[in-house]
Amino acid sequence: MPLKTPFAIDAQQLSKSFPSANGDISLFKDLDMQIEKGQSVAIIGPSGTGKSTLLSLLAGLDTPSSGTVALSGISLNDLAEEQKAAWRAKNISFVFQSFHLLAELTALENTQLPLDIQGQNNAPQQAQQWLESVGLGSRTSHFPAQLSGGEQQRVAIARAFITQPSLLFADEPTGNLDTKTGENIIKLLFDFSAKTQATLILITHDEQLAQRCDQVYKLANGKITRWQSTPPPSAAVLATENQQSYEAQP
Amino acid sequence: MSPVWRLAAKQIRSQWRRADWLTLISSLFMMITLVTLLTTTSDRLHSSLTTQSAEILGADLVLRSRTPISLKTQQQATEAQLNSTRVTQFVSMAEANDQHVLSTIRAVSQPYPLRGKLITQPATEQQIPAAGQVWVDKSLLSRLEVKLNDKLFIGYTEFTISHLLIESPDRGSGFANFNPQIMMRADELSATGVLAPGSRANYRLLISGEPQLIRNLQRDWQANLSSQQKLVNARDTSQLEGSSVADASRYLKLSALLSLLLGAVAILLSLQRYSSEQRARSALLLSLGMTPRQLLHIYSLQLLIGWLIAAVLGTALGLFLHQLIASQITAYLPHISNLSITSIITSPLLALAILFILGLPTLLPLGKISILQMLRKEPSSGQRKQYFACAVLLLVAISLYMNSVLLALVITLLFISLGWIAGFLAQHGIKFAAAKLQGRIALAALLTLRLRQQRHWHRLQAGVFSLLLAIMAVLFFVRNDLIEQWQAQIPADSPNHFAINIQPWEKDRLNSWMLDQQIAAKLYPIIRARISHINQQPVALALDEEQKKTHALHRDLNITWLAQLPDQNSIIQGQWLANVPGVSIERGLSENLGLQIGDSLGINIAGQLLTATVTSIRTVNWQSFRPNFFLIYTPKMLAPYPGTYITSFKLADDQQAKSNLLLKAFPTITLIDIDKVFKQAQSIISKLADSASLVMFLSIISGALMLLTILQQELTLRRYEGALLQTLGASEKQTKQLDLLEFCLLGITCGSIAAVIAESLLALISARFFNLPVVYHPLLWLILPLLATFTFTSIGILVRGKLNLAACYALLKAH
Repeated sequence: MPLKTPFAIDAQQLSKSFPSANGDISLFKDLDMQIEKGQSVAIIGPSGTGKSTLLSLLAGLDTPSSGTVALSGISLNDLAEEQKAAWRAKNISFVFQSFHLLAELTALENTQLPLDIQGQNNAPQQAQQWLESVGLGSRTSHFPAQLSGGEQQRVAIARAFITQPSLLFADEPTGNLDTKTGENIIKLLFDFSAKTQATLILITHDEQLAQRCDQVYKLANGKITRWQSTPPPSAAVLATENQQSYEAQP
Repeated sequence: MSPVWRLAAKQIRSQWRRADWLTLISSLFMMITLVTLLTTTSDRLHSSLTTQSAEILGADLVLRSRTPISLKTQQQATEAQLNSTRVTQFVSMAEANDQHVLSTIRAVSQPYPLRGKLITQPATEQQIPAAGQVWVDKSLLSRLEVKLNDKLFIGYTEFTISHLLIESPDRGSGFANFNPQIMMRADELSATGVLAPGSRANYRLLISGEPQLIRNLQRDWQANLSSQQKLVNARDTSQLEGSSVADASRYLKLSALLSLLLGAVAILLSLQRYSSEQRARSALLLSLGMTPRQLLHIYSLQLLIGWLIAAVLGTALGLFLHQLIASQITAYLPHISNLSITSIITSPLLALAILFILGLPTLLPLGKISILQMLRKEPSSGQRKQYFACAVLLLVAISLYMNSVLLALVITLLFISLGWIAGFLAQHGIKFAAAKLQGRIALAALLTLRLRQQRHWHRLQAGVFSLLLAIMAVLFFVRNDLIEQWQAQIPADSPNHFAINIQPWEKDRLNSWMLDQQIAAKLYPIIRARISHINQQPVALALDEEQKKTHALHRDLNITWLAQLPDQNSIIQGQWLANVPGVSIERGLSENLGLQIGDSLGINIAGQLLTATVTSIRTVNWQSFRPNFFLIYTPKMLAPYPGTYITSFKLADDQQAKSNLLLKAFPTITLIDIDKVFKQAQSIISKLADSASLVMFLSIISGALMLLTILQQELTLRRYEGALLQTLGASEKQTKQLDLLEFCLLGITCGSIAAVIAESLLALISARFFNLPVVYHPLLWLILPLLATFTFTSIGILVRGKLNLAACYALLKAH
């Protein structure tokens, strides 16, 4: 059962290192992040700094070298494999840069896939509703190859929200799209997140896009820093004590 | 070494352990092994049974006859300035230490042989055994429980076993040599008393000399041969073509065709995967300035080296397995010819042809890749024309191998259509099963999606595998059925011994001996004759083409004369008339020859024509294990002709000693123990079935290899799908279960379809070819689905590997 906590994500002393021939290489060390429920948070940073690795740790997909991650007060590492998968299926969704739709399934079937995994019966009806809400009500029987990039990403968004997740991770969701289409996609993401009160964690290169989030963090050289811009620091997001710097071990 | 070749060498080394490369080599290896095994065995069987070299015949020309060859005939050979010698060969009992063994006895006189060489142990300069001695096959020693220099009896005469026959020309022809052979002097034959006028024996006149003189004599004699005689020239290889031997070797080639097709599919799939994996590398090399020609050289060299390795290993294993099979069947061949180089190199060369026929259309496009297309990861355009050309070339190669375009085409289409039907049924079977699971298990919805995604591969996998399993099951069960059902059909009180070669003067004594011993046995006279005329016309003129094919026309029939209608015979037309000269004919034969009551039938008995009127038509119970006859004459008609007697009787298990007593009392009689014949037949069928099963087992491995190739082909897609499902909330266990469920369904469906096919084939074989009752095989319905499920799941799990969540995310990011 989720504990009563204001935080959607509570990461403490998070480190990740990889073994190599010359000893361990540390990507980052002792990161602390607390993200309040219902907020939108952007993580920006240059390529290769470990944004995606951080995201997979925060989403409980990967295990940290040290430190803990609690999602809605639950440490996923303490759960058994089956429980972990079931919790993720209900609470977490992803939107990827390259959409990741299964080519042999129609838009409708791709959308209903998470409900199929959970074994829910009314999956097609729900998928139909979500496709209508992303403006693809008339394209449900089309295969990914018959859809444009923007349309494919809209199917991916419908698929992400069909489980009404509490956490949505979006990894460069507009990276493969032109500016205008990207704009529409972002609007959908923000609207749906607000409507479903989902916490949105967005990884992006685009600083302008990042600024639309409640909080922006920058990951560079193994450190995570609060990237201050428009909105004042919210109580929701507390990058703890000296928010700035955590030395990365080379 | 030029930089290009250096790069080629490095590429070959570095890619050696790639899964797609290894499957390609393994497929080639299996194909070469199987085709080597089948080609060498077929070739050797064929040449062993049909080669007529002088060394095998022991002469340049042989006159074979069912009746004794006259001295006059031999004189003609002498007058033609040719050497000649006479051989008499027959089956009789050899006895020592109360053991009786049915043996093939060859009575010879000097000079012998006229061509080729006898090898004996100990070696000797003598051409034929000395007086009072015999030379024997090694197998006779153990069966008679004797050793060299011990004594044995043939008929009334005792001989010393002085030498073992290690190698010998002139052993006779065909598969008939199940019995150990004994060689004795012709001048000692009459003293044994085993041959009398009318006894069954083969007579040969071996002739040697100048080729032109031989040809002249052959030309002179050919026109005057009787129906009992045949001339065989050592140089003439055409005479045995079209026989059942040719069919047997064609059957082996058909099995090889199945392996070739399986191998070609596996090779094509692994080549496709290999070349698609090489696209990025090729684009890079081209962008760095390598010419398409150089690129093609590198890949051709790599293929060639792969082929060489597969060829050496595959040929070696194929030859080893061939020796294994050959050791099982050589005992039944008149001689063993050497392996021909052609039969050894056929398989690797065929594999090379197939590799390049399939490889070039797959690899050629690598040299034409647009670098831009590559960088954008665009799919390559279709190559339909090339694949069509590929299919045509493949068919040409196979036709050359089979020596027949039509046969190759028909059989290939037959395999493909049967496989297609099985695959179609399997695919729908799986779909049906998955629909039944809907709503019962959590993964059902995903399973449906998976089945749709994999449907083309399922069809191919299921088609090939169902057929292979069915054929293997048929081979396995047919041997048991044949023997068990055949034996079960024989009533318990059926006779289990036949005594033949009973001479007329022994008849009364034997009858009273049987009475004394309380053995119920009825003696029938037999005479060997051949049907020659119908209604006063020679059969060649009297019958149409279809009627002329009747088997009974082409061999000597055992005919008899009786006053009373025998048991288990009943008259269906005409009347049994013991006192009116005439013949009673068996129904099947009368129908085949179109004979009616009142027609006249002419037979040839040792060169004399005997004509009789058909007075009745009978049915005969051929399964009664009693002497049965196509033709029964009224006693007076056959009395003047020399004949022997035959009888059959039942000895219970505790009466077996009586067979020894009988042979002691009547040493010239030939006694055939049906139980032993059954055991021998069982052992031969088992050996042949074992060999066939080995071939099928190897085909199953080829099939499994193809399965592996297909799964590898789809592995990237499967892993990607697994990764996506896991990030969408499925657990690793769930994705594994999904795969398992898919493989189990595939296995169960394939196994069940294979069981249906196998059961139908078995029923067809029993009912149509062996006239046996159709039995069901519950075991088959259990084993085949289990075996198929085990194969699919184990290969699937092996290929699939582990995919944890972090790896999933990394995979999706990289995609």
